[in-house]
Amino acid sequence: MKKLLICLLLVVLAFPLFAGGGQEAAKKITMNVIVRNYTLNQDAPYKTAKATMETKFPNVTVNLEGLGYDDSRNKTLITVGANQPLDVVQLDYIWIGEYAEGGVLQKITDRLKSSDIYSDTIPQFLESSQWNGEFYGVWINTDVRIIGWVKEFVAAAGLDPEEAPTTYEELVANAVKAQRPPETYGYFFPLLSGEATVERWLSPLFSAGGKIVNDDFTKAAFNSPAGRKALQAYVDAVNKYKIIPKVAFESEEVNQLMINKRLVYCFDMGVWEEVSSAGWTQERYKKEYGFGVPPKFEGGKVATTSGGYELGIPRTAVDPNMSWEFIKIASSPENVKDWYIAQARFGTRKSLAKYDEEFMKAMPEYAVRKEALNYTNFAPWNPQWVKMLDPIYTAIQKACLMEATVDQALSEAEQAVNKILAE
Amino acid sequence: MLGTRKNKALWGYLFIAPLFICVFLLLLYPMLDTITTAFFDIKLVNIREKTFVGFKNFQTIFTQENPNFFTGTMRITLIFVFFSVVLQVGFGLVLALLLHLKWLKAKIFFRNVFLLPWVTAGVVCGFSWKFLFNQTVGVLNYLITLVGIAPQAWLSDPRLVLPTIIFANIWKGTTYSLLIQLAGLQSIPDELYEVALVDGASKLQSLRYITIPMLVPFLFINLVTETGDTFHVFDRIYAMTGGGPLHSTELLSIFMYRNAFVYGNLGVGAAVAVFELLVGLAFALAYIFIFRQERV
Repeated sequence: MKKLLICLLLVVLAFPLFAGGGQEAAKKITMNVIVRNYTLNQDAPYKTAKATMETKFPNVTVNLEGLGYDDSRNKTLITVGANQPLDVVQLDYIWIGEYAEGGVLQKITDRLKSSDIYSDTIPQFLESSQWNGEFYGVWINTDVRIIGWVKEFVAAAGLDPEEAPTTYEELVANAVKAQRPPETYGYFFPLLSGEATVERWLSPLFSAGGKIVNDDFTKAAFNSPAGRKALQAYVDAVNKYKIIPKVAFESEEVNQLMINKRLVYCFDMGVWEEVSSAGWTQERYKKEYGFGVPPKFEGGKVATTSGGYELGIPRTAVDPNMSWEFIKIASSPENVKDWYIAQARFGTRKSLAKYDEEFMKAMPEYAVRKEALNYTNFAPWNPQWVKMLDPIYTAIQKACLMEATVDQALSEAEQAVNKILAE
Repeated sequence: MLGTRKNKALWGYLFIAPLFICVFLLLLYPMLDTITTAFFDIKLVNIREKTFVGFKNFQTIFTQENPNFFTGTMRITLIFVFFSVVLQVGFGLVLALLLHLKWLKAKIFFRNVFLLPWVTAGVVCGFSWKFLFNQTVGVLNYLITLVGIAPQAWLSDPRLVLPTIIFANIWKGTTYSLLIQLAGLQSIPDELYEVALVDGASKLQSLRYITIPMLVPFLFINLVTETGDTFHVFDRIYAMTGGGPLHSTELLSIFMYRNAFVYGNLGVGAAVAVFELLVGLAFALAYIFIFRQERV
């Protein structure tokens, strides 16, 4: 009897070992997800994704942490560096190269290519989510930059307030006619804002056929005829045509300056995001402001730029399959569309087209931004990009403040960038 | 007897042990770790891997160009520290003397008002000043336009931005000087002034020959702590300018942050921190030397 009891006890004790598979499936999983703080101001995309995830997988609990730009980066790197569990991160796409090379993110190439996301993503966005031929991120949102103008000033200058300037030359001529300095300047350029300064040089650079670095990210490529043309355009806008004040505005002021009628034209129009929350109707907005695809240089091509965020799986994810599930749910058009509508964001999935009518109702500039998407370009996303920004914006500032010629400024920056790339 | 003394000593050590452990964990360990890190190549994206590089991180900061470390970052930091400390201690002394006036009413009210900047978080101060100095909607520009002066780009004009942040820093730091020096003034016995009055000393002579000499130990403490604090100021300046434009407000602390967290070179950031520690130490020793000479 005693032996029988012992055998029974052993069987009971050993049962969990053999039933491991079943237990595994029910194992409690807590997922830690770092996202940008403002994305948690409404349910979509992350709170809804959390709810869907927890319903679909009852053993999963999702912890969402909303952080500021710098904090989200620092916390991600420190958490992963300390080998602490982190399951999904929202990251600026410019960090992809750095995170991939540092082993912070896991490759998701196989997962991505075998899912609908791959074929559904606009091709140029796929390019900027890979590093060394492997994919590391899935786009969650982007911003496609367009130009905007105050119709009242353009009309007062005898120009058609409904028409966007199609070339930079036309834009400058219009701005000269329409501006009333010092109250109202012709064009917005945050001359002394660092990264934002460089970002606004990229569109004319790409329009003139230039680029920042060569295709394998090993050499600076901006000290070219196109780079010089793009920089000379800003130098002239500041010093010759005086449509940009020398003591420049700060980058985050653009919307307020447009609302307060202190500018005629601006790049990176974002006024609707501000005034819609203040109760403006689309009719009122369209009556006061015009918006269009950015211009091109005569003989050049139309070009704009995009930035935005991707979702990645950190090296320390507890269950990468679950992380991937969360990414799929969070980035799905059905899940994110309400966020895009609520905060005037833009997506990178082709299938979002089925919601075009809803987007157009919510965002007056939607059609223009969608068109601009065809001409979009990206700042480089190599690991050294953040460091490269410094010599590049120093060059732009020096040239515009006439502390160096365009040639000198770009040559100095080229040397410095090549040194950084060689490190 | 000996046993009792030993026991007392043991109890003493036991009582200070928690504090010692706290100091070690919160101050000494991070400091030692930072000093060690300064000699390694450690990247933020891969903090598990570190390679010993000797003094290479120090070489990197000293040979930095655009801006040059010594003529750029270091020069800006020294200007910032010099004007901030001198004016904070100066204004603190003036305010303390005013608050110490016998006939002044509502002393507690004024003292509390002066305390406000000190108790406000640095980041809050930074953003508040950023708003006040704003080129287009700032109160300051509104006020100067009322008297016919053109609006200024206080935080984006490289010529104006350093004086602007020094001003904001003085606003925040003066209260500390005020408190130290007010404590000093309150510690001076009234009898000394009464004797001076009997001897026919004027108010200015009392200030010159009684107040200032008696305040010297307090001024010393004030200068040492204020200099150290000003060298480390980060939050309010970063909130106002982020170190720009054109690196014109990139103090050592912001330079350290940029290297460690923006560029992700923790080793270089730690080397800047060690350098900052040494500079702070050098200033403290210089003050000790100067004040000792004064006493001799």
